Amino acid sequence: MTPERGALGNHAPAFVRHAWMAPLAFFTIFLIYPLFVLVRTAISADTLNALVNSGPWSIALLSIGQSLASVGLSLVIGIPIAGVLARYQFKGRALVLALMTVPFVLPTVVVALAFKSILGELLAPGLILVILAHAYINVAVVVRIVGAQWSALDPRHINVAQTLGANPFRVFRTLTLPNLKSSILSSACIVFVFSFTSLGVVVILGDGSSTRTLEQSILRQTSVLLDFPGALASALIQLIIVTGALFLAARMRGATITLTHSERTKVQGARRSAWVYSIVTLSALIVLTPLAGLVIGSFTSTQGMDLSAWIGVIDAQDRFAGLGSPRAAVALTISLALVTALIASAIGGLAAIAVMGRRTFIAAIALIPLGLSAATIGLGTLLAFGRPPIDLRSSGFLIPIAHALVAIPLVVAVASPALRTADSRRFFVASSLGASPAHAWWTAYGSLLRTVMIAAGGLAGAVSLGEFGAASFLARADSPTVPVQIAKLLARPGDQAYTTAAVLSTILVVMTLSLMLLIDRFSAQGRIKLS
Amino acid sequence: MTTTGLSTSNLVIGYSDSQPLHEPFNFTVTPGETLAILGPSGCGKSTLLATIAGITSALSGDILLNSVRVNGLPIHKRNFGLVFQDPLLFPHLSLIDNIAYGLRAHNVDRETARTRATELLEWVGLTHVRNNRTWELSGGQAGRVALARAVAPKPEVLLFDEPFSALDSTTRIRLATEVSGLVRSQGIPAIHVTHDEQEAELVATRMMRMQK
Repeated sequence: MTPERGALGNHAPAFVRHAWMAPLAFFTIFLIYPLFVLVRTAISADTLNALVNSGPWSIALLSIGQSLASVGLSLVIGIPIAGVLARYQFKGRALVLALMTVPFVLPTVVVALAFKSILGELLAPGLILVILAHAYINVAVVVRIVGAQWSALDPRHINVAQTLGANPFRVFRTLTLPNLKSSILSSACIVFVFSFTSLGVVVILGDGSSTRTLEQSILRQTSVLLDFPGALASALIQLIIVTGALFLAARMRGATITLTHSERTKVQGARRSAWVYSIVTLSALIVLTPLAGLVIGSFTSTQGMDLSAWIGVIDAQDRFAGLGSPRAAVALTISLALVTALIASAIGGLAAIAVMGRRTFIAAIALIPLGLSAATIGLGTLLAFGRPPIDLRSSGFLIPIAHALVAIPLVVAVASPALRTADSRRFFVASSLGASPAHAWWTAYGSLLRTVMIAAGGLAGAVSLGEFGAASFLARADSPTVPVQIAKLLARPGDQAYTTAAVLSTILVVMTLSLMLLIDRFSAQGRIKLS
Repeated sequence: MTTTGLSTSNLVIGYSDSQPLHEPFNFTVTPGETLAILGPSGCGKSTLLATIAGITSALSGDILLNSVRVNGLPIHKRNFGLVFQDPLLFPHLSLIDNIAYGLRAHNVDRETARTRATELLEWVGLTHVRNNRTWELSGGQAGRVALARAVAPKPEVLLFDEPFSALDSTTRIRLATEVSGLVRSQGIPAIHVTHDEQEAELVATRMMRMQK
C-alpha cells in the first residue's frame, strides 16, 4: 500500500518524532504559564468587581459598534474589488492584488499616521477616521478570503443561470452572493476581531471616548492608572468576545460549499471594461493616496519642503526628551525583528513538522495567540516575567518572545500546508537506496523546509517590525521600538515631532514592503502559498 | 422566406485573438429535430454550442431563431436551454428551487414555479429524493434534475454538451430516449454534442461530423 503523504509513522527519524517537544515547552513556558498567571490574578475579588462593573462592558459595546461599522465599510469596498480580481484576467492584475495587500502588512501606527496626514485637517480625531483606517487595513482580508471563494465558483453555473433567463443582477443576487455567504461572513468575523482589538489606530486617530477599545483600556489601566484588576477584567471580556468571533469565523469556513475550479475571463465589452478599470483605478488610488500623504509629510516642515526631518533621524541625536533617538529605535526594531524571526521560524517550523507527524494538538496550541490580543499577550508576559521572582525585562528577550507568540500562528499556517505538499514517497525511495532515516527525511523535505523557514521567518520579522500592542507594554520608555516611538511622538505637540514620526513611518513602510517582496520571491521559488 | 427553428449562416467560431476553429457553419435544426454533432476532443464542438448559447461571441456570421438574428442578444434573453456534461446544480438551492430557478427568472410566481418544478421532478422520476440536497444525488439523478431545470422555462432551443458521458450505459440509454421523446413531443429544435457514436444514434434525427 502506498503511504499517505506526510505520514511516515514509525519510519520517521527520532528528531521528527520528537519535534513536538520543543514547541510544547516553549508554549508551556511563554504562553500557558503567562495565561495561567493572568487568570490566577484575574480571579481576585477586585477583578470580579471590575467584571461586574459597567465600565469595561460599555467600552466593549462601543467597540462592537465601531467594529461592525468597520466591517460594513470593509465589505462594501472589498467585495467589488474581490469580484473583479477573481473573475477577470487583465494586465496589471497581479500588481493590483499585491497593492491591495499592502495596507494589511503595514504597521497600524503607520496607517494611522498616513490617514492623519491626508485627512487630519478635514476630520477631527474620532469615529469616522478610525472606521476609515480600519477599512483601509482590512479590505485586504475581504479581497483575499472572498476572492478565493469567488475564484472557485464555476462560471458555467452562471452561464446556466443566464440561459434560464436570469439577468446579471439576478445572477449575482441568487447565485453568486449565496455561494459567497460563508466567505463574506468569515472575513467579516476576522475584520471584526482586528477592529475590535485595534490599538495603534485608535490611539492615534481616536478621540479617547467614542473610539476606545478594550485593548486601549488595558494599556491605559496598566501603564497610566496601574489598575491591574481592571485591566485583567478588560482582557477577559475581550478574550470572550474575540474567541466567540473567531469560533464563528471557523464555523463559517466549515460551511463553505466548494464548487469546481474555474478560470478568469478576459475583459470584453465597453460597459464591463469601464466597470473593471474604474474598480482597479479606485483601489490603486485608495491604497496609494494615504502612503503618498505620509511620504510628503516626511519632507514637510514649517519652511516648506526640505530634508530636515530625515537628517534629524539620521544624525542619531536625542531631540525628544525621554524617547531615545529615532536612529536607535530603528536599530532596536530591526534587531528585535531578527531575533523574532529566528525564534518564530524555529518554534513554528518544529510545530509544523510535529503537525505533519500527526501531532495536531501542537497546531491547536500554536493557534491560541490568534484568539488573544497582542496587548493581552504583552500583559501576560509582563505579569509572568516582568516582576520578581522572574524579571526578564532587562534581558531584551521579552519583546521578541511576545512578538514570536503573535507571529507563530502565521508561521504554522504557512509552513504546515507547504510541508504537506512534499511527497513522502521520496523518503521511502531514499531509504530504499540506503539513506539513514535522518538523511532520507532531509532528502525528501530539506529543500522545501529551508525555503519555508526563510519565508516564514521573514513573515514573523515583518510582524515584529510593525507590532505595537505587546511592545507598548514591554518596551522600556527610553528605548522604544519604532511603532511605539511613532505613537509617543504623535502625542507630543509640534511639527518636528510630527515630521519625525512621518519619517519613521516611511522607513517602516520601506522595510516592511522590502521584506514582503523578498518573502514573495522565496515563496514563489518554493511554491508556498502565503494567503 | 421564413425558416422555422434554429439556423446558422456562415457562422465562424473561435476565440477573439485566435484563428477560426472550423470552416463556417451553415445548418438548420427544425422544431422537434435533434442534430447530433460528432467529433474528436478539441475540434470545437463545445465552442460551437457556447457560441450559439451566447457564452462566446461568434467571429462572424449569423445565428438565427425563426429567421430572427440573435447574435447580439444577451444569454439571459435568448431562452436557449443548456445542459452541460456536469449537471452544475446550484448547491445552495433545494432540488425544487433548482428546477424552478428559470421560471422565477421569468417572473413566474413562487407557488406556480414550485408546482411546475414538482411536476417536472416527477417527470424525471425523482419524487422520492425531492428533499435530498444536490450533493446527495447520484450522477444520473443530478443529470435528470439538470434536464428538468433546462426544460422548465419552456426553452425555444435545447443545447446538450455531452450531457450523458459521465453516466453508466443503462442510465444513458434511458435518459437519451427520454430527451429525444421530449424534443419531439414539445417541438423544440435541439443540438446534441457528443463524441460517442452510439449516443448520437440514440438521440439524433440527423448527424453532423466535425474534424480537428
